[in-house]
Amino acid sequence: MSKAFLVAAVVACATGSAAAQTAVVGKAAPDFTLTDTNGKTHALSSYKGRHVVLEWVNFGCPFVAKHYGSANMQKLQTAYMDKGVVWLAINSSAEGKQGYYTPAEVNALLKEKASAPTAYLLDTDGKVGHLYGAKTTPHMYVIDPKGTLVYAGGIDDKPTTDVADVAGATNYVRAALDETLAGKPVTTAVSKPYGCSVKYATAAH
Amino acid sequence: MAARVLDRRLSLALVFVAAGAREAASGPLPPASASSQNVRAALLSETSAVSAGKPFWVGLRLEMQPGWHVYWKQPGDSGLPPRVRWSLPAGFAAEDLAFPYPQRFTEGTLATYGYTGDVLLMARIVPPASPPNGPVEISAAVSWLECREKCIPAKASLGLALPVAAAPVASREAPLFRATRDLLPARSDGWTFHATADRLVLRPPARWRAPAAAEFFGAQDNVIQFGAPQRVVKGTAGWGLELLRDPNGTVPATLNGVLVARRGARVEAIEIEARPRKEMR
Repeated sequence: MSKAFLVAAVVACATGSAAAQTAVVGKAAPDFTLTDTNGKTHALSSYKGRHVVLEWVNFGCPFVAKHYGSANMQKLQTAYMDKGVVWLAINSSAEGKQGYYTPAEVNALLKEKASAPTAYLLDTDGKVGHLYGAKTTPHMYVIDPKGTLVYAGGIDDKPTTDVADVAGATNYVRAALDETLAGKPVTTAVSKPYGCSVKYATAAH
Repeated sequence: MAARVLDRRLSLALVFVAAGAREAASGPLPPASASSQNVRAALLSETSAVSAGKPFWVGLRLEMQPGWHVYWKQPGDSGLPPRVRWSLPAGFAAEDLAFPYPQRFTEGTLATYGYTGDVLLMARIVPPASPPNGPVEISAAVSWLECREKCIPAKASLGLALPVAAAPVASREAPLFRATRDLLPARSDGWTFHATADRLVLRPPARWRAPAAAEFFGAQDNVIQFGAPQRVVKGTAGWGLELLRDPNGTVPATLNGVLVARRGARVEAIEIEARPRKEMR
């Protein structure tokens, strides 16, 4: 790589900026529209009136593998979708970066893992990830029927890659959903998310 | 024939004694070092002999392949800190790991805190007042996350056997311990901070000399944005460092972390617990 190119690349990266995070717990969850792995578009606002879970995902990440390998995530998805919750898995991995898969590859992986979220959305340019301040995979958000963000953070309180830690952990998503489905305020509305970093696209490369 | 029978009984007796001395651990002592794909982990001791009532330092050394890093006690936006679970003989106690000041790895708006190259995480071991049975066996169940573009969890079981002596003896690794002490942040009192809607401003005690450059490594979750630029503010109130708040965070009771200040070639690493104050004008 020539020095001139390297300098130009560094400048481009430095001046390019991601959209600011506007998702704040207690405020309206910012609207977005993304396409799923079957070519269908989904607007968050179209789900007003229902509870929505956003799950940032990367099947190549050992923390995500902990929750999928143990079927923890799939059980959550099924249990709450059965209660009418909309479950949107979101992938903000840039093309060429870890965790990026083609729609066909994703569908095959979902089948293999027996995971069937409402939709698996592709956020390859990372716009929605930045809007929500998604830092890790997994990073979880819960939105109530009024469209208010009521939970943002980690899936549970055991930030490890050990499957053995799933059973004894306090699952913040389950707790938030149980409370908000019962019309109660969420006790733990914010926690530190844990996982691998989201593999965002960097500016103009 | 008789001699061989005697030897076997003696060796059984030694095993029995050794097992009694190492109550917490079971099985043979693990090796002193082990390697994952990208990191070599080693359990080191600053002393090559243990003495009754005299605390001594051991350490977990992590030597990383180029491009790979491990994390600080607060990893930042992602990652996991290295963890050690000690197995010690009865009467021995281990204090918390001491972390040298970290560096920041920024990727876009996200950042993590950690180390590249070679790092020694030290811990003080306090022996009992009465002379222990030797050899003193110390083992450690260690886990860490090593990352480059992707992250790989790693584990190792490490062990050391140290003889008992009247006084500690500097080991071959003692120079590494001495050099690492220079990298440990020193406690400093008198730091304060005030909060605005979207930032926290950190201020030093009165006589602190403003550095050429400074970086604050926040130790707490959901307080500051780990990846945000940090602006130095100067005015009638003197030097201050502006930290952008986590949008989902709250104002903490104290602002905790490590400040790394550079003055020429000299680095000052300070462990801070800043108290809140009203905004200064």
